[in-house]
Amino acid sequence: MLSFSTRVFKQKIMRTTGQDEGFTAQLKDFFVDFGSLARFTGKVIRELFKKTTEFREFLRQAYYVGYKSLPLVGITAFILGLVLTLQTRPVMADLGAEAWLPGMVIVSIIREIGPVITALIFTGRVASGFGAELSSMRVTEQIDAMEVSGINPVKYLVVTRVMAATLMVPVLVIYSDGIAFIGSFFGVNIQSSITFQLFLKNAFDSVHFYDIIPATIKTFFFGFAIGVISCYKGYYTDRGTAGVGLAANSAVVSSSLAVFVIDLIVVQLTELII
Amino acid sequence: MMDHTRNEIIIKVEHLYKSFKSEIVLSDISLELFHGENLVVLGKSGAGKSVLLKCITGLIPPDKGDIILFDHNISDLNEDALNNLKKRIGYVFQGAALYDSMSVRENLLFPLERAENEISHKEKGFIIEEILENVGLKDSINKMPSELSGGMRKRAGLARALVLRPEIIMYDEPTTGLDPATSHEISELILQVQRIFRTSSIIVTHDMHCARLTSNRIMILENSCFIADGTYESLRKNKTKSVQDYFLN
Repeated sequence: MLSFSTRVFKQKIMRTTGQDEGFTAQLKDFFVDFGSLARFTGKVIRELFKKTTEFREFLRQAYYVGYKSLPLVGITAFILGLVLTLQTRPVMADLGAEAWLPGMVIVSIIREIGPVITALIFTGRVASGFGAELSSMRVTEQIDAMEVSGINPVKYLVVTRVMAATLMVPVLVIYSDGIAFIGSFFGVNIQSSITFQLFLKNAFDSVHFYDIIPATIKTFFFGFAIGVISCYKGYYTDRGTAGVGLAANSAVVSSSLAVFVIDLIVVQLTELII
Repeated sequence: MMDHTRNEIIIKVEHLYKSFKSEIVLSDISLELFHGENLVVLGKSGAGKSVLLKCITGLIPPDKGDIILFDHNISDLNEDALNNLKKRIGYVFQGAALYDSMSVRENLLFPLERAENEISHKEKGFIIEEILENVGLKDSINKMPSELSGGMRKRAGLARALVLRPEIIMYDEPTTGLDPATSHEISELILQVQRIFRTSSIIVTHDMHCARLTSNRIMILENSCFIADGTYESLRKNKTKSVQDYFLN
């Protein structure tokens, strides 16, 4: 019979070894998946620069991911601007800096909250759709049917969606920023009275060129990443119909994570450059 | 059965191997498809028949072996050349694989628009109507795939495969999931297509009735390799137990 300390030691070794194996396998899977995603991204970029003939499908996708997202993005942005203003006001009032409230809120919205929240809403609405739609087409052999007809499915299905996402996220962010300003204006006016003109003047006195440009540029990367990742998850799904749900879920989770990672990188780069 | 010219080989598969992880699906597979021939690949479910078709059409890369389509080894072709070659092959999928966001007309127009730039939109409309008439689906031209029955979906899938006027058609389990009467109709339709469009076909199935009706030649796929090759009648007389099993019923 093993002594207590030997048993504990053996259990610890086994547990450690097991964890190591699990961790190694997970790490290996992660890098394999990442490599595959990088190859897929390369393929999409190559197709992007070829003469496109799928303009109608691009417009259809842009309408679906852009125009159809306007109500959801608008409502969220309005509430966001309003709540942010209401939450910030007491602190600013305590500091005697209530006049800076519009400026503070607007800078927060333009630099960070507007792009990130809009990208996350977009991810929830669009990435799940891309993932589910493409995976469903894969499972029902519709993508194979395109391939055997000599049609390039990456060009028709993926490039159009990625382009639509890349171009529509910045548009939606600008739109959501505008709506959030209005929400913020309402928030300010709940406890005090200020004209919209004065609100905008106060707000934009605090905004600089370097607040707007990096925040706008990063939204293109958000859109591209959301498009590529969600299409990748859908395009390479397996496991039949169960894979459709997994692809939709995985598209949202991975795209959301990518939004935060890109945000972190862009903020760091902006700090270095400006 | 149609007479066919047995001298021109249009598909040649040599020593093909394919496995998924540790599972061997195809092992040392060789076959030839002659011009004008209907070749039936008979095998039980999971024998690797669909994988064989997908390897031949370039949808799945084989592990080893050569696939020669119209005198071109597909492993030597670049993407564009392979895509052009694919236009000469039609593929009827097991579940029809119709684009579910498009009507029957749009399903046929989709490959036609991308392959034929010189034909006017009006002419494309005529081609679509003619093909749908040939498969008995003209009245359903504006229906969505979700509004079609199983047999109608197969017909629509066949019509889409025919729209580019292919020289070869691959049928993946064309009668699976259909009632006996509709299965018979689809089998008759395969023969009709061979006669009207002068196509050569590979038909993978486990349906003996379909095999008997449509085949000029049958190859039996079992345990990852072919175990018999011959006409329906010659195989029926084959005394090997594994071959006889297919004729028991």
